[in-house]
Amino acid sequence: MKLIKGMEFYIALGIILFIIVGTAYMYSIDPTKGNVFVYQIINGLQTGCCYALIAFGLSLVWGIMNLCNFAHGDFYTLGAYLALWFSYAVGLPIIISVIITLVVCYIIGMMLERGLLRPAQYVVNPQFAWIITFGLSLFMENLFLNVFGPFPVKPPSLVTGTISILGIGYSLERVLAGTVGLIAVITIYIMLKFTWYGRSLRAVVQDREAAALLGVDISKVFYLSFGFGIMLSALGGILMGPYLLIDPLSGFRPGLKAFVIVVLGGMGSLKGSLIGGILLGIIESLGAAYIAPGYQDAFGFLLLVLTLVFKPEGLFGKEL
Amino acid sequence: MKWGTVFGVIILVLVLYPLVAQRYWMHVAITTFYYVLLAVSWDALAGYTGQFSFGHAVFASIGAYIHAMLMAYAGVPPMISVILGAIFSCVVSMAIGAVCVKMSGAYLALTTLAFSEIVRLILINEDQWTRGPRGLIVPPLFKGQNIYNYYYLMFIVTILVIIVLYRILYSPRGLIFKSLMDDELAASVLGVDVVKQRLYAFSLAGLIAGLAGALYSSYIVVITPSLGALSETFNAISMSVIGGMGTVVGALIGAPLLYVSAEILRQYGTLRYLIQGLLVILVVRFAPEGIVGLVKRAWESLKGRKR
Repeated sequence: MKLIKGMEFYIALGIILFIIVGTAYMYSIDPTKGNVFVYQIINGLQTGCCYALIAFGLSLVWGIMNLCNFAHGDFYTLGAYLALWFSYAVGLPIIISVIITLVVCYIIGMMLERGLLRPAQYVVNPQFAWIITFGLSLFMENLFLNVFGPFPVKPPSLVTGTISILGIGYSLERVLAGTVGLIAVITIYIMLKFTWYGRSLRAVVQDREAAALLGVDISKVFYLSFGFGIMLSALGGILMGPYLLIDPLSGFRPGLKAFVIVVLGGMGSLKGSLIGGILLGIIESLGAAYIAPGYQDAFGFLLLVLTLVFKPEGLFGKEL
Repeated sequence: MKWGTVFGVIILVLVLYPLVAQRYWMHVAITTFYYVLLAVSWDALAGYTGQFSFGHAVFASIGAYIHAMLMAYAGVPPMISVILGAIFSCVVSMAIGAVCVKMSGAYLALTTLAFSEIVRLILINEDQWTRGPRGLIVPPLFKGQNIYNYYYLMFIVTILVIIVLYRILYSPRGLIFKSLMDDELAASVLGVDVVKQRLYAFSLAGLIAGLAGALYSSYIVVITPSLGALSETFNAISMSVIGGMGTVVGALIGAPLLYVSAEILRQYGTLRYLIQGLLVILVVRFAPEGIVGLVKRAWESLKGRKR
């Protein structure tokens, strides 16, 4: 066993220590305060797992294709809306409609990459591709507005009801979202480690030219990973939609948060996405509870700017 | 010579425009001037030095809020507070440029985007000063809200800004800016002070955007934090891109085209944003040089055929 671990080990250790010390301290002041603190931590962990999923989708696209997808958050909304549409308007069972949604999003992603982004030559001049995704974001938001209307809707959820954690009711939908998010991250980890696709992804993230020389079909990896990234964002929407509700602009915040996490965790890094997601989730929920609720989103952005200024390569560098 | 005549005619038409225009179209014209200023300043930053700022509208909103608060709370005379607002926006912009000095590409875009969101959240939350989403009432620049005064003021400022930008961007300085976009390392080897020039571009863009925001805020009377929202930035970007990036003329064509067509399409409600998004995608996909590039290409092929 190595004695000197990577940065992510110490950060994960720091988070765990912080949670233990914080909980002990809060309980020593007042049991009620301790309960609230634990509740916020659980909230942060749960949100963090979902964020990690969305962020890893972005991170793949960014790390592999060097393409900053500003419409990433809108696929979150798209996923939730499609799941809603398949289950309510078409009348399919929830599980099947979720699966169909994921497949549809995967295909949409691949089509976008082939038809729209690749002809713009994002490898040579990425600026134009950013503007395309920016325009795509505007287009999609207004498409949702025209098709689904401006009012928040609730996508279908597998579970309903609450459980009681330390005397505070906690929505089962959140529990499900956190669990599925974590399971999905673990599945992706296994896929990256042991399948052909995962191995070629890692190869391309490390060195595009060398991977091509060794026989990886770069163009295939590009469109597959774009589709996969978008599918992850849609899965995030399906998981978080039921308790955050979905309206045409609801993808904006998760999208920006995915950027924060990718910058924090480094491009193309799954571990980075997971730890960055949990870090951001905890910082946000504690910041909102103890500093200022109105600035919940600002903490993430501040973190982004600080990371970019002081450690632009991200906390964990480039590693899958 | 020929271009001089064309610009002369356009200026003459714009001077005489208030004689025939209805009040509504006066409003459209003033807003167009605002967007021209925003798009042109974004273009000077992104199209020339290659620093893609995705939070440009926030500089307009900073200028507007500083101007409004100075006038409302400190009683500063109108024109001085406009200038102070613009200068403050310029300083903030320069500070952001300084933060981004080592970044390029996507990281710079993200930092500016995050900055614009932070400022917007501050404006929303510190509502004892900014009145948050309820909107801050901006004291008028002139006694009585006479729309013609604002029209001519915005018109003169726009013309002056464009002349100044031409003098700057079509001088050796413009070439230096372009060299930054093409290859920063090569430029620094050839003796360009990269940091200084980048800060210069940032402060120039911030100054113009802040000036535009301050003037426009007094005209629209009530400002909200959404003046600096991401969608406004995207408006400026798409105007510049559709017109043609890296050319001052591009923004001059793109802003009126996009804004006036948006006003004509207003009867279709939210569908017009859909069309705008689609238009940007199509232009970037099929003609990345924008309208100016298309016209130039057509002109050259026409000339080639004559020979």
